[in-house]
Amino acid sequence: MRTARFLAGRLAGMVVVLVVISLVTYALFLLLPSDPAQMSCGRPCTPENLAIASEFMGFDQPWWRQYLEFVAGIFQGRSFGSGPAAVHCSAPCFGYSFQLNQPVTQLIWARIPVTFSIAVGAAVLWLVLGVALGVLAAVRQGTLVDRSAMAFAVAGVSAPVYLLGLLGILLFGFTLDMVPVSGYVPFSESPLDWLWHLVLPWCVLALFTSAVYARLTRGQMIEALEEDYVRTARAKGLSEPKVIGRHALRNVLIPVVTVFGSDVGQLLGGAIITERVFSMPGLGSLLLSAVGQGDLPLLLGVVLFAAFLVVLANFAVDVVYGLLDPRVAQTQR
Amino acid sequence: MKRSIIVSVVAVGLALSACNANSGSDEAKSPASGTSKGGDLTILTSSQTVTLDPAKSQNLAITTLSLFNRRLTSWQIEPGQPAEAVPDLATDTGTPSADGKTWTYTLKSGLKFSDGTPITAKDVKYGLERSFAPELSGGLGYHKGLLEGGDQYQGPYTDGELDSIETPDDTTIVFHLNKSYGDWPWIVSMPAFSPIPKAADAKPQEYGQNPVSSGPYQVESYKEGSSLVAGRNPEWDQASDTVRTAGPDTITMQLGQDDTVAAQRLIADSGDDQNAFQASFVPPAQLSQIQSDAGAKSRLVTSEAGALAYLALNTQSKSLADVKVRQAIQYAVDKKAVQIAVGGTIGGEPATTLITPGIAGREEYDLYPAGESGDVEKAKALLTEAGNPALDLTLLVESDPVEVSKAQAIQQGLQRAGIKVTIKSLEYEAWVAEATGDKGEYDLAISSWQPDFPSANGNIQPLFASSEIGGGKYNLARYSEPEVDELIDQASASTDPAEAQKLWAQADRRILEDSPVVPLLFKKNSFLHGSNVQNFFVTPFPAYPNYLKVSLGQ
Amino acid sequence: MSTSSTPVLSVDTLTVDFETVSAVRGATFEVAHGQVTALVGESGSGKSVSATAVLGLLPGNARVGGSVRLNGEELIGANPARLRQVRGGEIGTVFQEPMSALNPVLTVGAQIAEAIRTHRTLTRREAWERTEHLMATAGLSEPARIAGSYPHELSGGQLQRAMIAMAISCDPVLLIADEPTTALDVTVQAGILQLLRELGERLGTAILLITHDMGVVADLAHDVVVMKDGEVVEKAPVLPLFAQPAHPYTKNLLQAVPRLPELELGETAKAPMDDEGAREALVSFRNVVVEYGGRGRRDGVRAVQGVDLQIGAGEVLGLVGESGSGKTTVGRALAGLIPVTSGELEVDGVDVARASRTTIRGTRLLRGLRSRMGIVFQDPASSLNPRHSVGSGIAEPLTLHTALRGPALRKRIVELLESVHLAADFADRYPHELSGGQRQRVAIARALALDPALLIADEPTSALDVSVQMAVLHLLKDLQSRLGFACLFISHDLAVIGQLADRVAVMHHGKVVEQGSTAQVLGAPRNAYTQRLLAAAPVADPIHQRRRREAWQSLARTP
Repeated sequence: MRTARFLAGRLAGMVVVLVVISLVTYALFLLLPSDPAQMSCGRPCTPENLAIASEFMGFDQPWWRQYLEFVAGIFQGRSFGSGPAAVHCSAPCFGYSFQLNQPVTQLIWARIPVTFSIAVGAAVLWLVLGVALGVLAAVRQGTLVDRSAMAFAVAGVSAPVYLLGLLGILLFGFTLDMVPVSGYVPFSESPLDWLWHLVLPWCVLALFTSAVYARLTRGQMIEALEEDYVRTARAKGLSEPKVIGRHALRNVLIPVVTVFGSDVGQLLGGAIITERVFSMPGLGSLLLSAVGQGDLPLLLGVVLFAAFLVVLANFAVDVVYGLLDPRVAQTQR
Repeated sequence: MKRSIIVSVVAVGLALSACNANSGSDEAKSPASGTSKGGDLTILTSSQTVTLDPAKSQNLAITTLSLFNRRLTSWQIEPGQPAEAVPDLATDTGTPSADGKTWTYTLKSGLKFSDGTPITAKDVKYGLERSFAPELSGGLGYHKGLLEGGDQYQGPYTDGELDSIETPDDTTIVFHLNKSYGDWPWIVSMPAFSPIPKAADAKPQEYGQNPVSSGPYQVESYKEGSSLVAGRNPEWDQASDTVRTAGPDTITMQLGQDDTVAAQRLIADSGDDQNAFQASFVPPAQLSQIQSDAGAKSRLVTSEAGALAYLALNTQSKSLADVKVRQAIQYAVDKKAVQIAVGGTIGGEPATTLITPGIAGREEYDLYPAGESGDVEKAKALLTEAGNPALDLTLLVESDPVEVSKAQAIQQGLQRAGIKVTIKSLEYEAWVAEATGDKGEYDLAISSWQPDFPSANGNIQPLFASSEIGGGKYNLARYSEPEVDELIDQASASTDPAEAQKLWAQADRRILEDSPVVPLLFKKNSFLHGSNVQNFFVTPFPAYPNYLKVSLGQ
Repeated sequence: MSTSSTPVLSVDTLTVDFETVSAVRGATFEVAHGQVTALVGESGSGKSVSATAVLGLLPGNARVGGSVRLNGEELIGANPARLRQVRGGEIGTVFQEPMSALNPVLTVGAQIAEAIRTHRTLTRREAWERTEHLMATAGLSEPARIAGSYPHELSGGQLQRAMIAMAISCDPVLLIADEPTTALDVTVQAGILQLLRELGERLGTAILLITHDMGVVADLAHDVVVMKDGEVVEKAPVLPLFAQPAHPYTKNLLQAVPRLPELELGETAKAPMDDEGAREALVSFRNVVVEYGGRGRRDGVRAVQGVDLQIGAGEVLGLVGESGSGKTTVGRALAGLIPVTSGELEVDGVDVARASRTTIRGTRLLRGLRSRMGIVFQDPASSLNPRHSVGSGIAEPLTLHTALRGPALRKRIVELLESVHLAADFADRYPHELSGGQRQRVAIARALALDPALLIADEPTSALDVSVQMAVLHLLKDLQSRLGFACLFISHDLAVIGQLADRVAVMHHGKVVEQGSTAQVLGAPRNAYTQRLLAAAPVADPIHQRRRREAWQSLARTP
């Protein structure tokens, strides 16, 4: 019951955040000097053509009307124009890209697997590698293992992903010819190729961030090992792996998960650049092309979706946090 | 200006993307070996999508869409020769009536779509009518303002047929224009003049995903953001086609490729990448890397000087109202410095005229001979004649690094003559809004221009006709001269190419007398290809590889 | 009362060295079947290290010598697997502060079940059933609910009972109880001690009790081992030890324990609310209410609900209560640190209640007031800035509120240090170089720097060892009689209050339930809660304590 209320509260907050984000994004786009109708008006763009395009796309309406239609489209879909050539954008319609001739939802949907493959894989690598390394360093505090892990962490605190990606491609793609330099193969087509194409992007995106997590984990783990409950666990006769895995680690994961929650945005940002470098058809490359082409409806859709992902990720982190730390659900009503 | 959303090739004319070019060396120029058939060609492009619906396409006649669709005419683009309009589906480039308002075409016999059905005049008419539908806008639409009744017509889905297009029989198509227009043979080379069978257009929005092919290739698979694979169209007949050589068995476009990585791949030239070329310009870093790599250098192709980069002088601005002041600027600009800003001779050659090299009828002249670095004394003298006004000019420029360094070169050049320039750099969108808007609150603007079709018309009319001021159009100098408008009208109307070319050259010179723009450079574009790619060349216009002639060594 | 049977645990010339420090130097003692042996000493005496050595849980840098035998089996140098069997299996352990000794992210039941399954092959369900059974044994009602709860959902008493349930889960032969009641309220403590006593008697478990509290020793132990500086200074059965302590240290230790008067439990009656300070009131609380967090729609927590108190000039009022009683809130409200929700609170004519609610003017008023008020907190480490020398710490209020500078300031600082019996050169030391007692003296010197009319002392001696505590209490008493400031002395410890206060007020659930002269309240309380509280407080005298215990048991049985 308590958990359900906690979740409901968080969900409601999430909706509010999304409405605000959509309004702000929409307002920003209206402030931009660019006119999507102009972008899709063709050449030469006569005032008559422009007026026709503008009316057809609904950009002749006042802004609030446009926003309401946008919101209504999410729930009931929209149509532009009429007759057999009309453009249909079925619910949930997050706008229509007149430059790519596809509903934004469909465009995003087609690219989610790529971005998720990159982001989820990288996140797993971040966490697993980071936490494992951190635990190892904490348990073997002061030894060579500890020092090399921490040296690695210091080295990688903020290596720029783009540079790292290019270096990775040059070294492992061109020079050593170990991995493919670009492209993406769907998991459903060939799981092995999927993995093969993703190894380098994952590493580029995650390796150094994982070092940051290793440092965090190490510090937290050293602290946790000093805690009274760890002494209690040892006094119970538990073996050391159990003491660390069951008692210390769960407490260590709480701050790690918190930090991870705030890093989801960074992860998405990194994924955008990684997709670009590795020429993968994900949300990032979609966003970049939308920016490059001045494709406002697409931009709006992708930004909103990204915001949704971040909000959702934070929600998920809250939930995990609640699962990890029973004190949370109670205090954060 | 245009931002040609040519498949895979980003932004042409528009100063928008940095162009890089190589010195005018032209090794790959003569496709000596002829065309061998076979092989799998790969085209690497940063574009995410390919627009295959002719109505929505702004492709040049020598790039992607032309692999799939034939039009009434096409462009014969060969190294060392000006672009020429040649028959494609039609038997000739069109027969005008005496008043130049009616154009008649006859289709070649035996033409078939990829599904085996014959290509008829009705299919061309239907394809063209489609392009009027607002739902299918976005393509090249020069014909819309020229065809009689075109300004009212909104496509076959709501308005039935367009009466100004007649198809008396299956092989004849007649166009009735609202005025005499001598460049019509170029107009009918545009994507909208591709035939589309009405039967295949049940869902107009989805037509572009699997178009019926009339060219040598047909779409085998298309994954937006990822790849487009084209295979041979068995119904296409080489004998009927003089512009397409259809060398490779398949053509794969790899979409969304990072330009830097793609260039690296071509420099490495390993495996399948030997059969590839990059549709986007070579990025600056790779361009200099290639200079020290003999192997890669031999595979770099730089166009001859092409698209015009120019400095627009707002004739409606108070400071620049006096023609003497504008002429002084012609002398004060340091074109050498501008050239250095775009990377030296690899980036372009100084320009003194308006019509793009590679376009028939162009005349070379220099109204303001000042040497490459300008003639400051002459400039000062002219300013004195104008009464030594205190000049503080605003220069509108896009916030791209290369554009900004061009602006700085101009700023320093004008400074020598005592003209103060304040640079105002804006993001692309904002730049467009300010430069092409109705207000025109700037003195100077840097831009560049490549016409949509290889006629001087495309150079002159959009930039200098008084009808093109404001409203999103590109008469950035806001230049209005009845005499020039008259010349433009005459030249447009002339159906005799030789006469028209003479008039355009005259207009070119007449315009520059008023000094509404300073021609800065004819820009060069550089492209890189794999070692097994043959017949890969880049002409001055259009300064892009001719996809239709590329073949692979066998 | 020691028995002649074989000892369960025998520790023989145990030594523990950390790098350069010898923590335990040849300690020898035994614990017999069914007996409670108390290991007593002040901090640093080596008592906890000895217990940890028995468990084999000392950190890697400790060197251990001598012998520890459990039922004759040598544990020092035993292989790690065997030691793990012993820990939790044959030796159960109860630590102090159950809130931190239990893992906050696992349910209490899961932690107990885990202990069981580490040593017994039981299914999850069986382990869970046994867990609930053990919790019932440990005196927890509703074992099922408590087993499914997380530590933060339970009270300290419940947690310590759960901890005990865990310790006895594998029927250990020895139970090590390391300060098992230190962090608990007296009434809860009495229950835990009772439980331990019953376990020892019923199951025959030997108990090694580690404590600094002589009252607890008197209540529970059969044998007492007194340690000082890593050495055992005296070993004796409990009665002789208290009656005739042999070693001077033991004598000192016993003398330092504050005493409570013999308890007379009369009929409970409406307790007299003698709040008219004989002298002119310096401080007066009238129906003061303090709420926390009451914002928007949510109801605040009423920490203090209608308190009437008065402190006369030069009078020491002892405010006593258990955790959560609201006593600290009263102190903070008096200092103007938290806003008073309603009621009147005046200090020396200043309306603190109003000043605490308003912003700008109030802040100025309070600032002026604070220059006449000194405050000493429980933990001197947190109230002294670690980066400032002792001298500059004391100087701070002086430079803030007086014109003293340079040599005059220095002179005043030295004066203050001397008044708390610290040498002048302490001014140049830093807090971390000082012992707990010294730090608290510095805190007192600082609080008295401005010659306040009122001192608020919140548990000023709770973190100190008994002997140090006694010295600090003497110091405070001495200073108070010399300087004549009024004092609100807040403590949970009845005996400490008894040492210092002229009058005592007892708080319970945010209300003052009884107040009166110290002798009356502590000797013959009328209020039922005060009676229970007093009866629960163990005194350092086994015989006296037995009577109090019986009194407590009879009170506990009556609702």
